[in-house]
Amino acid sequence: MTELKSILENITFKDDAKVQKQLVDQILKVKHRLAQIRHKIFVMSGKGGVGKSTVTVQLALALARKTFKVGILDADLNGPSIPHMLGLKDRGWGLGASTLGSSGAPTGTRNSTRLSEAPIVPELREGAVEGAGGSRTQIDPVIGPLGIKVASMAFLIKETAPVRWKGPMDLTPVWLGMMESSTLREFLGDVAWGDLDFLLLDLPPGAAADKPPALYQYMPEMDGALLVTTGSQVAQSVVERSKQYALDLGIRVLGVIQNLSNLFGSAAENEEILGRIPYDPQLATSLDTGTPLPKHHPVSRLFENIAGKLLKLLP
Amino acid sequence: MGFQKVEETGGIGLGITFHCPQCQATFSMVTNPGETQMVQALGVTLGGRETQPAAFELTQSMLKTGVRGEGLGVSKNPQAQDEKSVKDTLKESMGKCPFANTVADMTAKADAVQQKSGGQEILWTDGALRRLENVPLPVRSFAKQMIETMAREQGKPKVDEILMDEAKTRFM
Repeated sequence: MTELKSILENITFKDDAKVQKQLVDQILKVKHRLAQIRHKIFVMSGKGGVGKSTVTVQLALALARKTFKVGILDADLNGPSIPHMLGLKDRGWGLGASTLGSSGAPTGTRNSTRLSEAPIVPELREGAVEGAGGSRTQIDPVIGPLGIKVASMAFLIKETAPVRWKGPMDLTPVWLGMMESSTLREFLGDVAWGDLDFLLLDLPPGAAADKPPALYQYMPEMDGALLVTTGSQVAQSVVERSKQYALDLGIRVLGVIQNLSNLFGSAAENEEILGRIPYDPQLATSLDTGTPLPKHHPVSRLFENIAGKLLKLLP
Repeated sequence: MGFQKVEETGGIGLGITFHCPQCQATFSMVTNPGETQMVQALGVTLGGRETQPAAFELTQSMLKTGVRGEGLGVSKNPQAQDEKSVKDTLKESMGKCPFANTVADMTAKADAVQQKSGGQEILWTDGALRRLENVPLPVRSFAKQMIETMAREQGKPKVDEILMDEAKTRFM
């Protein structure tokens, strides 16, 4: 046993399988893609159902109305809702020619795809992306209202289909975590986001889930997180855990947005609170129908105010 | 003992067959499907790639149900699966023992590496350690190990910034 241990300890690692190089290439691809995006912001909450996606959509609209170029990454892989809220639920990366991106139709026979033919990140230094050869290595985001660019798992799977993975370990938690982390990496690196002022990442619920660190490792330069809560004491206590978790990870907490503020009573005045959003039946209808509220609607104005505060917090 | 072939085992793993030309012994190592999936989840291709991965290659190829339309056109693994089964190969090699020379060879190689490095731990200068901090966390330990191997190959007891530059040129 000692001899075997000695042998194992002295085996030198060689990247004969070229795994390390591929992992480095993956990270470089994401870094170069994200380098074109000025501000990257998580929208998160430990509690489910508090309105993370609602806030993400409304904030994106408010920023777009200020003429910023905005993208949304729907990082809730298992419960994507951003496309529905923006009227994009019938769009998909595997659907018809209407989804073709700005880069034009693919040269392949599959006219149902909207993959870009542009070489992948041409500014990547030589050696990191060799072999691109104009292959379909990136995909255009779906363009929503006000030019908001959206990427979501909903564009890959049928509307009511759960996300299930192939293989003997499809229900193994550790493997699921790895798989979802890799999927998020593809959303960051394979989507042709282009130049953006803001990329809002709508995270799934979970006070100490694996998604914030999985995403943060790809973008340590990100600006910070917006936390969404309601006035409910239950929600606030869970969100407080999320705040501590974010801080533990080194993620700056930009502020808190209190949703449904007229249903549970307002939280105590706090300089972290960027805004309070009351329940509004018109907002609910607009999200269900995928029709954005008009610019002068009271809720739109509240988010315009939140966007203004956010801009002051950013470099 | 020499490498003979690699074959797929029903799409969930690989069988790697070795053959001894002297004693005609043959044995196969079969990959653990779970571990294979772990590697797949990293989105890498063992042996490296000649072309860039297609967009959403991993996600698209691993989604089981409910995929929209024709998907993104990610091709399936073209490798044939009709070769002789690994199980059969293993059966044929039973009763022979091809491991002794291989283990002796591994021991000799391990000794050679240890002798070359004097059996000492490779040291790092502060500057090199700072540079190492720039390597993304998921691959940092890999990178450290590879750079230390490079130092050993060159007979250097310490990793400094010059060696880091060489490593960057070599690996990146």
